[in-house]
Amino acid sequence: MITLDDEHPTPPFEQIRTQLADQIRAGTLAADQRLPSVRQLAADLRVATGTIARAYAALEAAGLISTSRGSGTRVRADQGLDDESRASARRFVHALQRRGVSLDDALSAVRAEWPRLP
Amino acid sequence: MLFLLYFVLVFIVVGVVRVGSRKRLAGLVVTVDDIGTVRARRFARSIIVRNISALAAGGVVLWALDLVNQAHRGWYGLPLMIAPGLAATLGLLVFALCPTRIVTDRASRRSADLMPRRVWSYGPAWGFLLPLTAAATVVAFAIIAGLASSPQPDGAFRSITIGSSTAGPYPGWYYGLPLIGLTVLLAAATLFALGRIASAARSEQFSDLDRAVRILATRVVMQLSSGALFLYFGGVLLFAGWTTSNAATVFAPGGVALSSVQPAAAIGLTEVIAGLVVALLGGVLVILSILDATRQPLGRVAAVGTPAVDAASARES
Repeated sequence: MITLDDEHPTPPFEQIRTQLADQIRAGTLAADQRLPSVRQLAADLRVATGTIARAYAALEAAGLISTSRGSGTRVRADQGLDDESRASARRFVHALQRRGVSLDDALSAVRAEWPRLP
Repeated sequence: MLFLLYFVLVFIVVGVVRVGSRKRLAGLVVTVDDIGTVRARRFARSIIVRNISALAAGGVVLWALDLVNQAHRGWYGLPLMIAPGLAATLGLLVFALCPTRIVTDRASRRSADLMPRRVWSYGPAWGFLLPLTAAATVVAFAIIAGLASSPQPDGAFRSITIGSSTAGPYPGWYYGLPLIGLTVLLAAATLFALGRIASAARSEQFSDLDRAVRILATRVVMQLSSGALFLYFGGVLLFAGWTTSNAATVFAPGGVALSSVQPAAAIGLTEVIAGLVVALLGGVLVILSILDATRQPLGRVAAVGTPAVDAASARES
């Protein structure tokens, strides 16, 4: 399931791309799982087909999904994070949620810390 | 008399099928909260209107082709033979192109399921494989009958010659080529209609109603297309079998059968029996599609904290 919020400052294309990428990396979308067609997702989210096509193209360029005429759009193998990394992320989230930190602030903290560590 | 017997048999089989599938059909009657009643009822009504429009369009085509057949006797019943398939094709196109949006306003926060909806997502596998096999059989039969046919004095391949005896009308190339074209057209219209059912926007508020409507719509499409296919294939088998039997039988001057050429006579008899069964099945499927097309998917309205009431008797507020 993905959600689109018109009131969110992030553009619709980026919201869709981020949520799909997150679900692939978290393993919610399994390897080789078929994704809905551009037309279906566009109809359900009530956006232009171009918005979905752009999100799919970005995910394909990042190597997360592959598209072929015969088998549609599928999640590529070995794109999910390993179990240990996911468990670390879960512990980090629990710790920050207990402190009342929002998702945006948590992500900002990660982005700020990421380049500092070797 | 034969037609009366046919209709009685069709309605008996329809009755048996409906009683047998009562529990399954009851699962397609959906309850909604009273908050969404007006919108859900509007959607359910649009579905019924779409279905009836499709059936009416098919009915008009049937009527028009019957008129054409009466006006052009020199076409040897060709318009009548293609009438069920052409009527179903047009009905399916109307069905597919009629808009039935469950949600008209656009909420600022919307979600989508990541499970792909395919043309076969809303029906059992045999419901798609059976008509697909039947369509392939029709094409194969038309080719075999075309190869077995012989030309009439006007050059049209609509006779069969067995030994020195020739009989017609036979579904040779004259009927076979339009039959193949019609079957391809019907299959394309069916796929288009199923594709439209699957790709239509999903309703977040009425997910159960949305699913019930898609299942019902798939049933209508498959029953209508399969029914039409079986109707014209049954008719073709009947007249092929009848003509083959006549060509394979040696008659005395008084019209009494003296002997028959085998295995042609046996093939003819088999075609007649198969044609009767297939035409019966076609009639049953068409009646079932009409019953499902006029079926109300919104059964009851459940007000929070109050007993459920029939949707039909509930007033819009």
